[in-house]
Amino acid sequence: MWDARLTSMLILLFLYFGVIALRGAVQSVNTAARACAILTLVGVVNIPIIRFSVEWWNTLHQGATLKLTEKPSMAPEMLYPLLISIAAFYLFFTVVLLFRLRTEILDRERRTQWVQTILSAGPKK
Amino acid sequence: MYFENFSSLLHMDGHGLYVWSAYAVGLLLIAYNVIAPLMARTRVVEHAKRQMRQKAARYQTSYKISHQHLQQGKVQ
Repeated sequence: MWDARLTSMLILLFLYFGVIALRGAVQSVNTAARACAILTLVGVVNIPIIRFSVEWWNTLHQGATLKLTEKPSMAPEMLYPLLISIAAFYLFFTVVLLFRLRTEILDRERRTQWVQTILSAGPKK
Repeated sequence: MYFENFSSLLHMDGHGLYVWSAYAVGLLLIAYNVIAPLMARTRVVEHAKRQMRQKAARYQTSYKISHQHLQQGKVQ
């Protein structure tokens, strides 16, 4: 018996592989980045499908336990660690994303004056 | 929630292998996501610094050559 959410998550995994493969396939960095951006925009369509897949298809997945409008039906011993973990993973993702963003900017702008000033200044004391 | 002893924490009523391997995979992925960006940044900084040094060396060499040409009277 197939499950709607697992299947749409599998499609998301294939999209991720596609973006990674596309970035490696094109020689020019800028063209590869542009192609990956277009593929990502197309793939964004999958996200609402995943989110509503539990509602639209009645397969295996259980319904939502954490709702915006009602009190959650989960015991507090489970609920609070879950909420803290969700917040923690969002924050962790943001930190890693920002760090990788800074490195990417440094790489793409390495010929500019401000980067060369920073690099020749050396590490902060 | 408590366990009788440490070995029952590992055993987890028969589910220990699944639970602890799931934790291990999760920790490995988090560690990878911390280490890989740090290594990438080191690589990018080294690459940029090496390019700066090479460019400075090329500029030095071409400056010395044009200075030599000037002294040898090759430049009008």
